Amino acid sequence: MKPIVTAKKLSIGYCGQGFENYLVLKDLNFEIFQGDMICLMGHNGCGKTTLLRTLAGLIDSISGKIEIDDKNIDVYTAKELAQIVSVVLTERLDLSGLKVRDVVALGRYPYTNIWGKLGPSDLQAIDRAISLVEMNDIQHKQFSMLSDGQKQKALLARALAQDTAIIYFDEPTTYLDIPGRMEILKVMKRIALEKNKAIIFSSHDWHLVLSMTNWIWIINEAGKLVRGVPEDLILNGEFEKSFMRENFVFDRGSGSFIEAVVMDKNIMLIGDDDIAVYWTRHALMKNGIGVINNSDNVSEAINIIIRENSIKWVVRVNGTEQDFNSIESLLVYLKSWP
Amino acid sequence: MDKRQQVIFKIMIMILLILISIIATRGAINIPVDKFGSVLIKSPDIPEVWLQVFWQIRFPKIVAAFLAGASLSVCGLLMQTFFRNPLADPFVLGVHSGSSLGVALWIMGTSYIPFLMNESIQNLGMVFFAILGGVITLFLLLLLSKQIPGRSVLLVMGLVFGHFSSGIINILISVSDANKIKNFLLWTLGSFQRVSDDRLLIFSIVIIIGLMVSFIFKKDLNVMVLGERYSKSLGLSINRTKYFLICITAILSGVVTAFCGPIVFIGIITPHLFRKIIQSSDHTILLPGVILLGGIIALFAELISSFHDGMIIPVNAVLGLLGVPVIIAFLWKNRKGEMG
Repeated sequence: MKPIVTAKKLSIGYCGQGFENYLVLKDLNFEIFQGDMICLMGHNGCGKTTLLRTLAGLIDSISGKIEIDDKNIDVYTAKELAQIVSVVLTERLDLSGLKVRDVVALGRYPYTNIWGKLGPSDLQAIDRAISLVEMNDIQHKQFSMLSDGQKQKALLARALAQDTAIIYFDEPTTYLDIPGRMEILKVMKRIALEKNKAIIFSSHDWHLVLSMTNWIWIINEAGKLVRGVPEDLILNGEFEKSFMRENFVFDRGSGSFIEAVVMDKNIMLIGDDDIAVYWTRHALMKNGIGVINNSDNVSEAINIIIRENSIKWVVRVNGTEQDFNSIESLLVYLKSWP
Repeated sequence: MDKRQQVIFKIMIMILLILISIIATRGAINIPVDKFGSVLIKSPDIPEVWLQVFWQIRFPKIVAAFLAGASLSVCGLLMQTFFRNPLADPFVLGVHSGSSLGVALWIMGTSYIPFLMNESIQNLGMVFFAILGGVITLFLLLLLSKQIPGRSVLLVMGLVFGHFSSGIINILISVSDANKIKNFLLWTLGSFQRVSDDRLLIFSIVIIIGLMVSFIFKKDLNVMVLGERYSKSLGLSINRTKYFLICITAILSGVVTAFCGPIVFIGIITPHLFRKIIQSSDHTILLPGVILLGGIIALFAELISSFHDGMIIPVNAVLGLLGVPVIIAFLWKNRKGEMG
């Protein structure tokens, strides 16, 4: 399969008028294929937005090459490029007086004539875009009345109406609530798969990304682009390396950073239900109670017993036992220990 | 256009026709409404004075007011869309100030050069300098707005330009002779009655062409509401459109300013009011809409300014009194959102 986008020795940044060039990232080499859904990660200010804008042709690269469909990006006219590449940006739009459908219809700009009259194929593309993001019911609502999540979907629909092989999406999940985040990523994933489009988006939502995408590109502290399957990046420590902060530890078991708390007690945890054990451990660690697996040097142990859909925590200390029916009450008890 | 919007257009056309017929028939000499048709076709059996009053005074006034209102409104719309600032218009952004400065320089600066005192040269010079002043101001604005982002900067710049040009104008006034000063001050009051017979044709041709050209950009304008980056990603050539829009705006507002004086408020009120009424951002609807509404507002101001026989209130005074409540209402409505 041929890549749809190829970057060779690409350096990006801003060429200021009168200033020195401000270099953000250099020597990037990568390929993007159709059907890819790639999440671009990295700390704030690492150049995610600059990279997306450069790839979209909104700003010029400083050096190196971007090829789209085997042709250099500079060869394309503005209109041709607009038919291959679309973007959804982070800027929040104040679009009073525009209905959702009107916003989506703006995506047809590169296809209509000077008067902007929408033909049958344009209307079809608009309808298709709206139904892909499942907004048929609210397509005649005012854009400004939508929730942030709906606005993101409408802007995505606008990019879809543009009917391009590549979509760059800057921070689709920012500002959204949890269902909104899941929803927009689900829609994006489906579009990448069903419509065979390449979608590259930036995000800080590591957990969602971990569960929804197959490709992650991390711009690490050294300004290098690390690419891989998210699970690999966890196992080989790349993820940990890129985001490590002082006083935090990376838990490879859950794929998340946790605050490094000095464990002032250790306790043994036993139970059959993996999920209950996982979350109990989660809560204990957060509160400075270490969990160990062998009983050699502790006399205390927590047994988690599940009976008729209810969970019970049994703490055994020096032969005596005490029952709790929530992690909350368990923690209160454990903290009261000397 | 949906049903509601069509009704709004029909109502506007009706109001326009009513205003025109009132201005055409009422005044120091009243023309009976039923004889108005005969006046229009210049039928020979009606009093000569009616024909004169209508064709030499009222007709030019109506055309001038309508076209001036229409073109200032289109300028306001173009600038509001282009700068994505609801408070932009030729007056607020200082384009009027630039034009005024140009005209002041011309009127008061040519007083020492006898061969430039010929009337048609004076008129031509005024148009040229009004447009030039507008273009220079717009280019400066554009340059600065690129370097200093932020919506309020633009308004501050307009204000600063205004003070700058009035500074120079004040110096000019203090060194010019009384006659020139009077000419200039009369010009600043604004009037649709100075565009008489021979000037009307040039005035109309330039403005009608300008208005027609602005329609070519309706598709680009629609996309521009998304901002510069989205517009670029959709394949719009920002720079080309930018310069065309600046030229149209400067020509339209410059010509109006040269002939009618620096007419205030129409440019900012009309697009605003019309957007609220029509509830659309589609420039296919907005452009003809603001042309109609701008014409209506200008004619209405003209009607009020000469409502009382023998006493003429300056058009700018009328518009100022009308405009202030509208702007306050707008600010009031948006008091919760961030302004600028």
